[in-house]
Amino acid sequence: MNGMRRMVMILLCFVFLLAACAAPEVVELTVANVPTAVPATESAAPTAVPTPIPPTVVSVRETAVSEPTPAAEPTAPPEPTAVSATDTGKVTAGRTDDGAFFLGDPNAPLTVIDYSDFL
Amino acid sequence: MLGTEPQVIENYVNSGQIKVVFWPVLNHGNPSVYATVTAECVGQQDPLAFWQVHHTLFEKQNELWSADRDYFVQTAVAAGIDQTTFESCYDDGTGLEQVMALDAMRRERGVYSQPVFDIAGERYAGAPSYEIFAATFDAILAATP
Repeated sequence: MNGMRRMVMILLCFVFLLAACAAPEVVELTVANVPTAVPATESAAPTAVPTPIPPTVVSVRETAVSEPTPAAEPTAPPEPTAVSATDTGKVTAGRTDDGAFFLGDPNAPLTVIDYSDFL
Repeated sequence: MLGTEPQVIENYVNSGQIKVVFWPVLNHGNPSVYATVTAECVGQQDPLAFWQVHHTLFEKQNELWSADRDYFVQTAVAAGIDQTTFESCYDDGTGLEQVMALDAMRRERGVYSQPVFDIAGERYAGAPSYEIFAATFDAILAATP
């Protein structure tokens, strides 16, 4: 009877040992499965469209007054940084018909729209 | 575009081959809004100064998360902008209105992430190197009559 019980205990230990050693399922990041950037063409339907964070500000004045002060030390305002184009005075700047700012010859053969966030 | 912008301006904008348009994408809440309103209100006084502040804001990107109104006022003043006029634009909502309108337009155009570059009507997501930009520009310009 004791021998039987010992056999069962040994079997159980063996089963637990196997379970503990089983490797978790991990997908290795290799060159083959690195996600590739997809050109954001208008015609191509994006597979996953990131949800933009809607600005929650009601008005600049209101938030400037009521916004909680961050814990971090206030940073000194930056020194003005020279942009080569403005220094040389070679180019013009203005607004497009839509109201966005442009830099360069308004009649330049190629227009590049930079959709960006300062953050 | 901060990393590649000086070269693009030097080699393509100054030579009259390219016109660069900055279109705001407000994807990071209020800090995005304040920074963009600052650039907008600077640009209302001087479009060339807009590009100077645009460069400064990108360069000081990490500071913008905790920047307050005074920070943005000082940024504008440092660029040679009249403080009273700037504060009026910043506070009365005229700058905000323009910025929100542009942000709404980019959504209507299907732009949800940043940066996205529209080059001659083709859109590219991400921040390519200058070499990739240059090769793309050269190919398009060569095919342009």
